[in-house]
Amino acid sequence: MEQSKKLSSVFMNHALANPLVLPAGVMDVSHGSMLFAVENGAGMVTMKSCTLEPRSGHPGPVVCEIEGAMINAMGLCNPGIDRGLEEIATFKKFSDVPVIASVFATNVSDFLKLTQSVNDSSADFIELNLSCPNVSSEFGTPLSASSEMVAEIVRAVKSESKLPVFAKLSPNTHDVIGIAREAEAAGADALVLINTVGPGMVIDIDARRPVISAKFGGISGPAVKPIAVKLVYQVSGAVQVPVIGMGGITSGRDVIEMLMAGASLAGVGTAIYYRGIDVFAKINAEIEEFLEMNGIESVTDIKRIEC
Amino acid sequence: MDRRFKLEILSVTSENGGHKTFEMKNVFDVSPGQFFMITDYENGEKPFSVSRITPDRIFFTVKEVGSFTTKLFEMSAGDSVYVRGPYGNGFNCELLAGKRLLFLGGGCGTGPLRSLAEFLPAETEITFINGARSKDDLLFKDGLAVPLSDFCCATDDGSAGTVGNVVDVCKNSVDLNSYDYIVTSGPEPMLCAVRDYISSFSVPAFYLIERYMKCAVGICGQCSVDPVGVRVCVEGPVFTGEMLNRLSEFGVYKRDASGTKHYFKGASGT
Ligand SMILES: Cc1cc2nc3c(=O)[nH]c(=O)nc-3n(C[C@H](O)[C@H](O)[C@H](O)COP(=O)(O)OP(=O)(O)OC[C@H]3O[C@@H](n4cnc5c(N)ncnc54)[C@H](O)[C@@H]3O)c2cc1C
Ligand SMILES: Cc1cc2nc3c(=O)[nH]c(=O)nc-3n(C[C@H](O)[C@H](O)[C@H](O)COP(=O)(O)O)c2cc1C
Repeated sequence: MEQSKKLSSVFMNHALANPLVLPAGVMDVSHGSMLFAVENGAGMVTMKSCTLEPRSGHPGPVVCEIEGAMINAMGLCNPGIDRGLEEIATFKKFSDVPVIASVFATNVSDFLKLTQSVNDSSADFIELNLSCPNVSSEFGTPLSASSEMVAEIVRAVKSESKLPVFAKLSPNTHDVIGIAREAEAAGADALVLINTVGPGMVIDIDARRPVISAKFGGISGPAVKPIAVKLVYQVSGAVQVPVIGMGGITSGRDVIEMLMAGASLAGVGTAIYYRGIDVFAKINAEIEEFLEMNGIESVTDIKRIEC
Repeated sequence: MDRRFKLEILSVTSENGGHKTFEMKNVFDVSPGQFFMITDYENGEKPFSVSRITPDRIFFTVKEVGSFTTKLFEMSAGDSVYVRGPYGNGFNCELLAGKRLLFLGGGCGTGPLRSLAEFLPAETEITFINGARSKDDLLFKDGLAVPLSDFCCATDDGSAGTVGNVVDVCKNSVDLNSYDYIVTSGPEPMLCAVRDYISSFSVPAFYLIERYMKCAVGICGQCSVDPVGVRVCVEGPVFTGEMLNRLSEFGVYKRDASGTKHYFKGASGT
């Protein structure tokens, strides 16, 4: 895809054509879906969070659109880490766009096993999903609710990983900043936030039943953006490592806002629902337009605002 | 907005081959080839194509294969389900209207072809070849609600219509070059046989395909087809022959609810 130099950057030794990242869980359970996002302008992609064993996820309904947002409880469906990494290998036959392998476990030893698998794969980064809100009835409170747990997992994975380690944080705790600091101190090379908000609940009043089969689901999309911007702003002010900001980004102006909050890159997930798969190309064009209008040379010149 | 409508089942008709057709009120703007997600809030939420569209009614023709469809089969007129949609691209009715069309259908795949045949304007010339294993499996064997240029049935065992599958009928008695478009819907092995046979002709074709579906709104990626990644729920379920030829997974494997590949019989994993 033809793209201007204005959008390109180097992120941890990887050349990126633009700052847009396909986040974990959105259009990325197969090599084809990730390639489709790249074809449509994504600069980097994440593979769906993988567990040691395959998971079919929750039965439907798994999503529900509400005003300005989407609520989902997929239930961490994934083909298991081995097959997931095969998807990344196949993806790499078609594309040299960097891939983040997202992994999910509930204890340190499983995270270590996942890390060993990812070490021997063609992934470029490993991301620890410490924050899935949609399996809590199964696994209890998200791991990133406890700063000790986060520190322990990140430290263990960091000592084992051959790849840079990203920690994906939940917005649904009292002390996101403290947890971010712990993750950095434990060796995280970058932080990714936010995961979905809530969880929330929607009731079908005709059926007198929760719409989502798992009852509760994580909230994403435009309505959560102010929460994401605030947390990225606070976290990026508290740590030195790069922050990949996501949560409700839907337009080029939203990306600029996220960069001004202190993010280095911006995730675009639920916006695919609102603006189509070519949302990446549309957003890239909008970023360029903003740079042009404001006489800014490169998207990398947009820094966290001082306030 | 992705609203779920509570729709009462107005009638249930038993069809051949263990199929049932469910009639509901049409509160949508739907066209043939599109599908809906239907749930009872207990046995999952599953995609079904419309098999007939009238101004005030929609119909689904369903085969019982697992937990949700079994539950649906226990329902009768007066029961309600929860329906969201329509989703997907559907057939390009503007393009097909008034043309000479060859429809090749098998199994529940004949449902969406029926809705298309009944939807297109009367001057459209349609030859409809309807295939099944045997007489007792043949859907809509008495024809459709509209007259067609030709409606013929084919069964593997010859118990109704011509002996053989739809491709055999094409080989023996159809001049493909006399059609403007081929439209086909049915089990994947049948669609592959159609694709292979028509590849030496230059008649453009449309295929309606199925993949495991979850969100139906294009964000979960479950129904993306490799390696292009087009989503059956958004870019599909109707694909052109050119696109199908780029989808190397077609006829080789499909993914289950976890994303794990399952290879079709005879296709090999590499
Ligand atoms: C776009 C589209 C249109 C369809 N139209 C029709 C139709 O008009 N009539 C009809 O009878 N069937 C149709 N199907 C297939 C129908 O969705 C499945 O038969 C149904 O989901 C089975 O659910 P179950 O719980 O009864 O079976 P399960 O026990 O869940 O599974 C039985 C079989 O159905 C397949 N299946 C299960 N869930 C799904 C799913 N969510 N999406 C796709 N396949 C699934 C499985 O791979 C398995 O082979 C369509 C599928 C798609 C994708
Ligand atoms: C359908 C869906 C599935 C998701 N699955 C995962 C997942 O497996 N792992 C994860 O870390 N985040 C997952 N997320 C969260 C997203 O990666 C992202 O953090 C969140 O949706 C906010 O960004 P958005 O508003 O741009 O979608 C999922 C989100 C959605 C909508």
